[in-house]
Amino acid sequence: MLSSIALLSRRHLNRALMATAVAAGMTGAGCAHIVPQGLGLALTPNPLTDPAVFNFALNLEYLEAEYYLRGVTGQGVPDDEIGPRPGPVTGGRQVSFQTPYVREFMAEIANDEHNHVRFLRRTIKASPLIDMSRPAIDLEGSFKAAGQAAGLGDNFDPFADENSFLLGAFLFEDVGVTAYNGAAKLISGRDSLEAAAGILAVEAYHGALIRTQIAESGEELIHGANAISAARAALDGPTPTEQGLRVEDGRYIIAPSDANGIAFKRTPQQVLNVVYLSADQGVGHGGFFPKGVNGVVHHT
Amino acid sequence: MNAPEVQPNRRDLFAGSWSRAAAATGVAVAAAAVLPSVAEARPSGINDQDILNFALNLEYLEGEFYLRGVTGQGLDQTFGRSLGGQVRGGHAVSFSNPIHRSFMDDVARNELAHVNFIRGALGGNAVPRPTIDFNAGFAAVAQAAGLPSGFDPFADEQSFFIAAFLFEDVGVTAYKGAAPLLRSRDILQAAAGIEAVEAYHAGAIRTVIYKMGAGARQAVASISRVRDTLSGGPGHDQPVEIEGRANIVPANENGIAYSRTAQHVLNIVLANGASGVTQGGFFPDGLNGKIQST
Repeated sequence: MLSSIALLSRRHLNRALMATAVAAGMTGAGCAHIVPQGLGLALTPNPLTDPAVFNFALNLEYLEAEYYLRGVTGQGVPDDEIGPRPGPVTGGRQVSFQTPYVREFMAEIANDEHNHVRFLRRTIKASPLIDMSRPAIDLEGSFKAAGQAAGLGDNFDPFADENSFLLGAFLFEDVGVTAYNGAAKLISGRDSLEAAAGILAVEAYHGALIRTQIAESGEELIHGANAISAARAALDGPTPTEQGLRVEDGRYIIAPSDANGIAFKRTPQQVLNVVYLSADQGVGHGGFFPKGVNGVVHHT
Repeated sequence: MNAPEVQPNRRDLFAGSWSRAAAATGVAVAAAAVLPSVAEARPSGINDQDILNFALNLEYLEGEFYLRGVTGQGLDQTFGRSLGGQVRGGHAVSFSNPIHRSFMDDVARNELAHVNFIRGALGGNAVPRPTIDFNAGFAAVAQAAGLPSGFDPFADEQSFFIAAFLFEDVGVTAYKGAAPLLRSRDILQAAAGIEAVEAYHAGAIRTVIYKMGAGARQAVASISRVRDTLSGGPGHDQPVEIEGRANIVPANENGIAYSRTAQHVLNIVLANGASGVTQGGFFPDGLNGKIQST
């Protein structure tokens, strides 16, 4: 998996470098080897630079932030925090919560995800390879498709009610954990690492909050969560990335993890398999991101 | 909302390599003002093994706590032999809610797996379990937190969750604090994966406690204050309710979890806020390994 990341990234890096070199007025056969100065690039053995890794993460944070903010408040990420070239958001509306503390739980998560967006936008250093714009996000057709795959009917709408919103949330949080966990080895800077570790922890707190609430909300929700977990696993290839909320012997799983008690990880490609809702390789858009994600990593 | 601590020692340690690395990797190091507080610079003479052994002491503590509470038996019975020092206190909890029991069962399995994994990773260099005293440890915490005297964490389900609260957030902050100090990428990866699992645990426990109502929320608010006081009071510890609203996730204004240094973790588990302390609280004979002093 790592070699395919390297291959894709080098290809994208080279293409971007070429474009930059041409734009800078350099032409000729040698321009692919020119590293423009001061653009914050490091052609290290790990071709994914820290900014590129965080740019990838930012796409997911936008998705979560838009989901939770719209569900809780009816409004998404503010206009001055989605540029420079934001894509539209389809779907999402304020949920009518029956249980006040569930609304509080979702509001807390919304606040965290919004803070993640703001933090990443503030700390990723800009460069031609970085695109901090919100990508186009689909919260409507995506969930219908995901719902079909998970046996939740043909028209699953997470914004219909509190329980549906919990199931929609379940789809995201474990993925966020596996994404940041999978990025741990890709990050080189120590402060970057600490930030990633800190966001990883928060996504896991969220994941547990949602697992706990769903576990205590009855059989229909528990089965729904299990089905979503299985559907995710079916998308991202053979390596173990999932544990359902309740397993065959009836035990509840608070922390999806392997036999060593270590959380699963996903490569960026596996994360994209899940959020593009495609099990195929080389896919550049789909599912929650109808135009794909922004930044140098955007294909499964 | 606390201003992140400035750690001049750490910045000096990395300043040179950071200015080069910043140009190379493009991470805005100047944003240190908005990054969470960083862990102390790695003390000289401490290596990855020492850090893992420190973690192992804490996993022994958690492993014994959860296994005893869920099954009535500790690590030795599970492993079929003595792993080290004596363990005092702890007995099977009578759970009223089977889902809550199942949660704690999952946590116990994970902590057992952590003990096993870290011992395996260290091989012959793994430290044995130190003496662990749940009676003394919880007595000290309960007293400082103003919990009823004779607080028995194993008395019932609610007490067990309140007691678990003490450990889990600390585990998260400990692994997060250690992550940037590790040299091996593979060990770092494992530490990140364990940190995530500890955060899942903490999130579940905090959620259950929140839903248990005012009494439980107040009890952990007191424990949170005690942790903060013991570990130098940077205000990084958070109760499960703030200003009448649920606060399941202890995080700063960036939505990022906090770190603790090993010393601050020791302040908590040794139940002593002074520096230079090596024994007390849950570890009456101290921890094993190189990292053992507040």
